[in-house]
Amino acid sequence: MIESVLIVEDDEVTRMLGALVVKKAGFARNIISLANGLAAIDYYKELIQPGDKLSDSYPRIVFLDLYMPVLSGWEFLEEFMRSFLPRFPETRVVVLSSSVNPEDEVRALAYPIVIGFESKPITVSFLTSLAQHWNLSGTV
Amino acid sequence: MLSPKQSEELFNFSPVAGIILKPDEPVFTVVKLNCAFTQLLAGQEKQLTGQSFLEVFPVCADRNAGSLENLRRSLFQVLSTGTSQKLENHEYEVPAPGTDTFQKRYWTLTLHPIFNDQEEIQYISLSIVDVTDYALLEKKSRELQERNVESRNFIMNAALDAIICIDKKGAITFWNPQAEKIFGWKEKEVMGLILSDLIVPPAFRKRHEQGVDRYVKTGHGPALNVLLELTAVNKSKKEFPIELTVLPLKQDGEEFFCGFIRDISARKQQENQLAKLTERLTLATQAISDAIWDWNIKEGKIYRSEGYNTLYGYDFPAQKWPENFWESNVHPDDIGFISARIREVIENAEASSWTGEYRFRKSDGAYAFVKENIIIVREQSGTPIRIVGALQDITKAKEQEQANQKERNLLRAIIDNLPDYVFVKDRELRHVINNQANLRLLGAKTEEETLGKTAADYFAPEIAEIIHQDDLQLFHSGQPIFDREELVETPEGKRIWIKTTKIPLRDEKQEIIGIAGISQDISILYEKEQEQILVQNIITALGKFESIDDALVETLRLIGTFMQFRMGEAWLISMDKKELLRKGGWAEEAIAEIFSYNHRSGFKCGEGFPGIVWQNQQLEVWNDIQVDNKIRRTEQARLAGLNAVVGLPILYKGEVIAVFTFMTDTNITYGESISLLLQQIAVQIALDIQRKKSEDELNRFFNHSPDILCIFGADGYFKKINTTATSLLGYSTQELLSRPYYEFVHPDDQEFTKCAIDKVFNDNVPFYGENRYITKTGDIKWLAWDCIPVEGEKLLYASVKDITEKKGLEEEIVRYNERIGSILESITDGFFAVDKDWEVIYLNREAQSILEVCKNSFLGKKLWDVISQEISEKFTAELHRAVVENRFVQFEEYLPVSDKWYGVNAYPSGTGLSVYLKNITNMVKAKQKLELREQRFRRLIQDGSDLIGILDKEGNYLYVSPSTRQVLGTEPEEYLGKSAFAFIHEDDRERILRYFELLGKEKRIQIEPFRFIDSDKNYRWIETIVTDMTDDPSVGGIVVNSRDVTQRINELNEREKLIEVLTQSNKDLQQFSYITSHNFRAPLSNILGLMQLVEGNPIEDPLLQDILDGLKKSTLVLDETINDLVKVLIIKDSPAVQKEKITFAEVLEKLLMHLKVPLQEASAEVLINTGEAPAVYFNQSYLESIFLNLLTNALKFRSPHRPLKIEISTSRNGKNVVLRFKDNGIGLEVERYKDRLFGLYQRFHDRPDSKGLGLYLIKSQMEALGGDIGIESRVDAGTTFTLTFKNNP
Repeated sequence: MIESVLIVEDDEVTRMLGALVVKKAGFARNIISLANGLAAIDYYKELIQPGDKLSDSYPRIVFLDLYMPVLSGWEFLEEFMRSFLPRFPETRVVVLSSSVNPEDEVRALAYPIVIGFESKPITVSFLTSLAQHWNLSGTV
Repeated sequence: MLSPKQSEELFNFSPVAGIILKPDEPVFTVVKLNCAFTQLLAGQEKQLTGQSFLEVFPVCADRNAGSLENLRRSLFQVLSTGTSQKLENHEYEVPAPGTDTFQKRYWTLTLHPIFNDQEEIQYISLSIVDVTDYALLEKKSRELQERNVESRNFIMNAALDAIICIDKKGAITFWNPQAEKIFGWKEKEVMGLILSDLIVPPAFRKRHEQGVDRYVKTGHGPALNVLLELTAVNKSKKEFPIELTVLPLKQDGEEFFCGFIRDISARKQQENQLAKLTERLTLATQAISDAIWDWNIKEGKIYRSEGYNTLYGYDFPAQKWPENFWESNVHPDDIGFISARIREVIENAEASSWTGEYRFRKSDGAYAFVKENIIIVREQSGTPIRIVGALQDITKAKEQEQANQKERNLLRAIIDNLPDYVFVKDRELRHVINNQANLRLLGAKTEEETLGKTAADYFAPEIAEIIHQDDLQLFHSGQPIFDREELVETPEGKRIWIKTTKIPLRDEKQEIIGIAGISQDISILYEKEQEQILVQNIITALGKFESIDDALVETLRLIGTFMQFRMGEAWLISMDKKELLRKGGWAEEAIAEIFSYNHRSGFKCGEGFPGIVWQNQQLEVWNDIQVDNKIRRTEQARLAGLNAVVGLPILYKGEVIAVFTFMTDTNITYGESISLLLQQIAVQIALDIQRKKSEDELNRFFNHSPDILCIFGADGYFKKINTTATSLLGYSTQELLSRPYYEFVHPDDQEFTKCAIDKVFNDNVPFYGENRYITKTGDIKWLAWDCIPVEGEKLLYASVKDITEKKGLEEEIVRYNERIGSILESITDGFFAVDKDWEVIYLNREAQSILEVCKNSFLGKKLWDVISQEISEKFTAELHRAVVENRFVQFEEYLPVSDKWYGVNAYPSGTGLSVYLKNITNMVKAKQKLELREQRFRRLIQDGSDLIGILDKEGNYLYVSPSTRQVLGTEPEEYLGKSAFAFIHEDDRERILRYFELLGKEKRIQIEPFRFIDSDKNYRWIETIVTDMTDDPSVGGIVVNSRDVTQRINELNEREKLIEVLTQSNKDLQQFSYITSHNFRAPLSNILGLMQLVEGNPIEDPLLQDILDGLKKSTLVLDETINDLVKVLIIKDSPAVQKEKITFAEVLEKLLMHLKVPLQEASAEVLINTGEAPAVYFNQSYLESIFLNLLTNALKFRSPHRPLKIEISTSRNGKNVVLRFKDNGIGLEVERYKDRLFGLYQRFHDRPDSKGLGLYLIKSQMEALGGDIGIESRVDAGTTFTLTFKNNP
């Protein structure tokens, strides 16, 4: 079980579902759910504030939706790579999308931190195999 | 001291208005007045000195009678007392400067006696100070103050509490009516008395005084600003409990106290009674395990049992329950409702018991669910005297129920939030579940009210019947119904199109237990489609109707009906573009009569409603047209009850070409949708209207030509003929078109006319000829024909002139020649005469030399024997004709040996024939030349729309054909002498100049289309052939032959634009598909995820379980369907799939491993022979998918009577690789299904795991890479698929 995961997803039901499944699979202790890319960027900005002890237990896995209002998953990935990756190097992203456009998958997997492109819904079995495959264990 | 003069000046220029009066009462003559006073008179130049003051005092005498009386009295007073008098701040009506009106001013007047040396009053001085501004200010502030006091007292007196104010010394300054009531003292009795003496009981008086003192000294008062419960005493010395709040206040620097007091005797009494009741209850209910309470209302006592301790953990010894124990422990969300219900029951004299459930807080803070039973004991009168209640802890049962409910709610919330209409029906087709969207569609407020109802309860009978039949069919067949389109009416009366998909819900035994459906509103798509159909219809109408007027009427009718207008008119811009002309009108039958009269037919730009639409070039909507005569035909609008008018300009190339006006009865909201729709229609039909208009104009030219113009088919019929023909020949157009042309030709001319026309068609060359036509009345008309074949069309354009008159003249000449012919014997022309037997009678020298005969031997011989010159057959024939018909013949004969032309005139006479031969060689040659040129020119110039011009070497026009009028709208004379280049678009000029320079080297140059200006300063596209004929003396210039190809160029440009738009829209559509599938999948994946979470949670309600199972199954089907569709979308969308060299055997081996188990179950034998073509260039995943589909198909449709046998073999066929896949399964009837075999969702066997997608996918994948698939099959023998691969990398 890892310390925390971040779910970035604009659909409220999907977000709730994600949290339920993560909890059911015993995948992570803490679940941070945010409604779009901008909220996620703000979250990381908050984390790098000096003196914030939480920044060590930053989420190792981010479940990212692609098409969101305000700031899309694409924009988030760009911004994260540019501004935050050096500070949070162990972050890995799993894109969770309903997109059927094959170009989206190619484009997403081109990012080195993206380790998977999964169709929704997120399932317990997927999380179990993800944990096994990446040997995710507590880092704190 | 001042000198008298100085005094006078001081008086005169004082800013205070002053006047000196004589004391000669009652007149008070004016002696002197100063400048300031004159100003008060407001320019009323009156002679005042010597007049009576009271008469000239500058105020309105009528309105100020009282003031004047005051003034008079003051004057008398000055006289009688010898003292000064002052009239302060009085209101006067004073003349306003420069007007005849009066204004209100406030003046202070001072009257002062002036004594002489004898102490007698010699004069009275009167001064006026204007204090208006101060007076108004003061008045206002006074009003304000009064109002404040008033409102404060009102609040204080109306207060429910007694309000008492005291000053620092304790003296009463305010005492409101409620205070009078409570304490028995009247306000006037207590004002100014010390408060504590009056209402504080003697025992507390000292403490009260100390408190007031302390506050005054230290500013500290613990009793201030808080609610106190004290004892007070009233007028009759009775002590009672009160509630008191004291506020220290400060006003105008003065400190005082204000107390709010309430009598709480009654409440105190109740509290005491309650305490007694409690005791009783403890005893009565200690033994019972439920928490019991007993409220003796009469005694006001409440008792609570030991159950409150054992069940809820509350233990208050000696029944000392805190106040509001119950209220403060009922869950805040429940208290409002529950207490209201209980109160209701208690107040209802009939009610004796109540049962309810709510949440009750235990002492550890957790909430228990309790069920409470209450029994009310009442007096005879119904007044409750005792209430007993029992609280039962039902937390466990409740929690279970809530958990179930939560799951249900979750699913419901999801379904309810879908924008699509979701419903579930049971076996009897009654509604079971409807989501919010569907409830709105049904017009139901709650789901309960839909229970047990069917479609017939909600939809119009015909719609309900369709739905019912669909549902029955679904039950019957078990097949889902996809995308059924239905027109339904919403509760608001709006008609919408919905697209419905219904699927059966099955139980574990696969029996259908209901229907689940999901519908989508597709009205917007439908409306767009309707609009498109409308535009299509209009364009069809414009093409179909012969005349533009009829076409426009149809257009109006189509738009009008579609938009629910009631009448419409179409106006076209006249050819000179100066006027809008009414071309057609349409109106609903009911009002057609009103609009059938002959209207004013034209409007100028900006004139009338159509003219304004023309001027503004935009959609105009006017409402309330019956008001103010907004339009010219307000009267008709009133009669027809029409209120709104819409004007739609039709713009072509940025110019208005037509205006459509419509009227309707209700006012139109100028919304975006209506304007957008109309403008779209306008844009889409503009080109066609312009085309129709041009056609109409062309027709007019056609019909108004002085010559007959016609189009003629190779089949011998006229295809089109103008009105000139009908008026000349007397036949109607219909008659002319319906019979072969030669039926109208003079019988003698029919033969040669036919030959000539055949020749024109066969050789494809122009033709000129003359023949006779017979009119309807039997007259003969000579017509001259000029025909040009249209290449490749089997048509002939002809322009025909009536030359009857000319022919008549010719005949006249013949007759004349006949008369004088015999006299011309001595002429120098050749002449000879023969008798009836063709024996030569006479032959002159000239004739001898012409015909080359010897004079000595010809007399008495036959003519034919003596002529050695080679003569034509015509010569012989014509002479015979002259004799036989006994008529003069004249013809031209060419004699090749001498190369000369002769005019031959043969005159028959009683004895024989006289023949003249005239050398006309020069004439004929000149004439031939001339005729040829004339013909050519006439054809070029007269025919249709070609522009002919002749230029000199510098490019200046020498001649321009009249066709400029039709093509460019200009007069040909305008061009003469001007340079042709001046009319060419500057961007094209350079290019054309270069062509022009080539003329020295080339005779004939074809020039690509360029732009040439027309009369409206627009550029037309012109295609030109330039021929240098400078050397030809008859022309002497450069001939330019041009044709207007604007429409072709424009169409070309439009086509290119269209392709661009289509390409873009294709991309958009692709993007749209992706977005749609994304949006569809997103909520669906949520449902799937939620379903997975629901699993494992027990559900007790079996129906709900069924519904959930049904929903899950349906959702899985829907998910699979979408995934399938996405697969198809991706194949259809990827033009370039990666190809690589693939070995068949490897792929097959992998798949056979994968399908090992099912193949073993089927005892299948698979034979593979790929020796001839072991590999192919193809896409790996496609090939895997294809084989997988073929193998699973073979497994699915294997015969139950024999073990499955599959044979796979490959071969080469030229460059292609062919793979045969053969099984021995149940097969199918290829002939029967051949059109649908490879279609989407086509199934040929009813098997639950067959989706009808496999063959479609295979075909799509094969075709995506240029391959193909074929099938052969026999029922119960097997199926062979033949796959042909294009084997290139």
